[in-house]
Parts: sequence; C-alpha cells; structure tokens
Amino acid sequence: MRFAARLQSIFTTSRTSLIHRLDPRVKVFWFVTTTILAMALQNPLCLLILFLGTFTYSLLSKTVREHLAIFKFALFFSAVSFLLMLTATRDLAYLGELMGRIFARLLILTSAGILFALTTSPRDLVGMLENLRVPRLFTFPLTVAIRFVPTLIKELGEILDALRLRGVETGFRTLLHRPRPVYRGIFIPITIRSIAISDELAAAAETRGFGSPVRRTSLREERIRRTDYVFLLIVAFLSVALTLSDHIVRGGMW
Amino acid sequence: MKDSIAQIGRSRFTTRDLAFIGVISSLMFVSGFLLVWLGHTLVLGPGAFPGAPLLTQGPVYALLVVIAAAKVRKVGTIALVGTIVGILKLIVGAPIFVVIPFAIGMIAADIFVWLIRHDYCCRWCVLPAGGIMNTLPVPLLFGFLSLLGLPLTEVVKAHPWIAVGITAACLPLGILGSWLGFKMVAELKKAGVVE
Repeated sequence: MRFAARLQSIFTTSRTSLIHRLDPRVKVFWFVTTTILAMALQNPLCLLILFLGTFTYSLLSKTVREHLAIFKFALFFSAVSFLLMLTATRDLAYLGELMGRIFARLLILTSAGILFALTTSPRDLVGMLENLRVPRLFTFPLTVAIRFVPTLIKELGEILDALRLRGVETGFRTLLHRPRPVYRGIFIPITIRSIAISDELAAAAETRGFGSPVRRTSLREERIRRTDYVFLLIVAFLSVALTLSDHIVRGGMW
Repeated sequence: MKDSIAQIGRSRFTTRDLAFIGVISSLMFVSGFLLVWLGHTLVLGPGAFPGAPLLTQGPVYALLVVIAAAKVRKVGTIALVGTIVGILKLIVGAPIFVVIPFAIGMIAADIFVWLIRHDYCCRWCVLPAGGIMNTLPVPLLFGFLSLLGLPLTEVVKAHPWIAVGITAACLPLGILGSWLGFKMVAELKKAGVVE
C-alpha cells in the first residue's frame, strides 16, 4: 500500500508555501508552458535545464520529499524499460540517443503534473474552473473524482484487510495466479461501496442546493496579486530564453 | 434517493449520475495509474510503442465504463467519464498527445451507441462500444505522433508490425473487458444495486 499512500499524498494538499499561495491560473500557465517546452525542446542540455526548473519549483514549494518519492517510482520503471529495450535491440548508442530524450521528456512531464497537483488543492482547482465558466457538468464529477481518490484508497485497504482476515492471500503474485478473489473479493465490493458513497454524496450535494440555477458564490475570491505577476514574468522569461537557446544550439532559422 | 430531482443546467444528468461518474472516473484513474506503467514496462518499454498501456489498462477501463453506463443509462456517460479521466491524467503529467486519443476513443464509443439508438441496454451495444474505446486510440495516437513529428515515430516506423499487432490486440481485449463488465452488472442487478 506504499504506492497508494504516495498517490494519496498528491490529492491531500494542505501545506502552505510561496508556490501554494500562488493563483491556480498562474500555476496552470507554468504547467502548460513546461509541457509544451518538454515536447518542443530538442537539445539535451535545454531539457536538463527545464528539468532543473521543475526541481526549483519543488524546492520552493517544499514538496521535495513527495516529488522524489514519485520521481524514483518513475525512474525505476524507466530503467527497467531501458534494460528491456536494450536486450531487444542491443544498440546502446541508438537507445541512448533516442530513449534518453524520451525519458527526459517523460520525467519532466510527470514532474510538472505531480508538482502542480501537490501544490494546488482540489478546492482551488475547481474554484478556478468555475471562475473560467466551465459548466458544472464537468466541475462536479471532477471534484468528486479528485476528492474520492483518498477515500477509494482507504476503502481498498479495508477490503484487502477483510480478505486477509478470512485467510485469503492478497499479494500481487497470488492475485495474478488466482484472479477469482480479485473479481469476487475486490471488484464487486469496491463497486458496491462506490455506488453507496456516490448516492450519499449526491444526497448531501442536493441538500446544499447543488444544481440550483443561481451562480454559486465563494467565501474566498481569487485575485491575481503582485507575486503572481512576478512568477508569471519569470516563467515567461525563462521559457523564451530556453526556446532561443535551443534554436541557437541547433542552428535553427527564424 | 431513487428519484433525484435536481438536474444540472439543461443536461439530462442528475446529481446522482454525476456523482457516480466522478466516482467511476476516480476508480479508473487509480487503476490506470499502475496499469499504464505496467503496460509500458512489461510489454514494450515507455514511449517506444505508445499504445502498449491499452493492453493492460483497456480491459479494466472497459469493465468500469460498462458499469458506469449500465448504472446511468444515458448516452454521453462514456464521453463524460473519458473527459474527466483525461483531465485527471493531464494533472498528474500524462502527455497531452496520449490523453486526447484516449478521450476521443471514449467519445467515439458514445457516438456509436447514440447512432444505433441504444442506451447501454444490451450486449450488442456494450461490447462493440468497449472494443471501439480501446482500439481507436491506438491508430489515433500514432497519427498524432507523426503529425507532431516526435522522435517516437522513428521507432514506430522501424517496427510497424508491432503497432498493427497492438491495434489488433486491443479490440478483443476491449470486448473482453466489456463482457466482464456486463457479467458484473448482471450480478449487481441481482444484488439490487443497479436497477
């Protein structure tokens, strides 16, 4: 369940730091810019600088421990994949050239996404979407989905505990060899619990006036402040600098 | 809670439907998080063959989507689940060129059910829908990669038969997942959980 605990940490943001206090729209800008740059940049040095940029974000937001834990998980799978590809192709130079860039991109993309999730609370995210006039048809299920991840992990743990109490082995290898307990003992109970929880949630939402045609107001109004503008400028400046450097190194034409 | 009164705007989805869609999306996201990595690693290696995760996550996704569709029984359910899971995947760093084909596959499955005038009522609409949602993203993904001119296409160009193999394998796996989901829905109906 260590994996589950790590995944849970992404969706239970409660810390405060300079980055946590930034407006979610500014963080979305950083996330989108990093994603585009990760795909557009070709030079390995530029990709490394971009990766260091995500690490600086992690340092500023004091989420290095969580970031490293998930990063190690991604790195482990990348290493296993690299070895598998190496045994298949037996061409280290080709793999180093091609897969190196692919891994660098994947690690940057994963880092950016995880850091965005670690520093933006689900409430802020949904508040931002509502401010952007995204219909409730999307915001409500999204809020439920984000909020339900920790609950789901807890429910899954309880179901696995119940299975163990009945003497059923719940190790990964056992589950692969005997899939029947997965279906009977895990899938069906988790589905029934999901239906029950969603019904309770819908009842609670309706009693609080959800679905009324009047626009919801919020206790905390989101405003872009001076620190947000400074962060925005830094991200924009670094992005332009990286794009220019990549073109110059490649000898690109404008 | 049998008859939910509140409806969201002009949509046909009730609060109860949307809550269940959210919960199923969460289940898909959590299971997919591990299955994608397993698919990439155990099958062919990350990035090299981007359709590989669909071999591991596809059947589970099809199973969950069938349960959602059978509970909600409204066209648009799969598309909504696909969009929500897509947004969640984007949040945790999945590349956009992977997420868009995945969401398009689910929207296409919904369009198919709408075109044949069914509402996830029988296996004749559920099974092909599962096949479509699992198969369509693979060629779309390779098309996207070629369009963007990413270096991944070099691997795809070098070994096109594996790409065709993955596409061909995704269809029965999607149908298998839907069939399992259909069986599960029958059990849930017996238990009185799904109407």
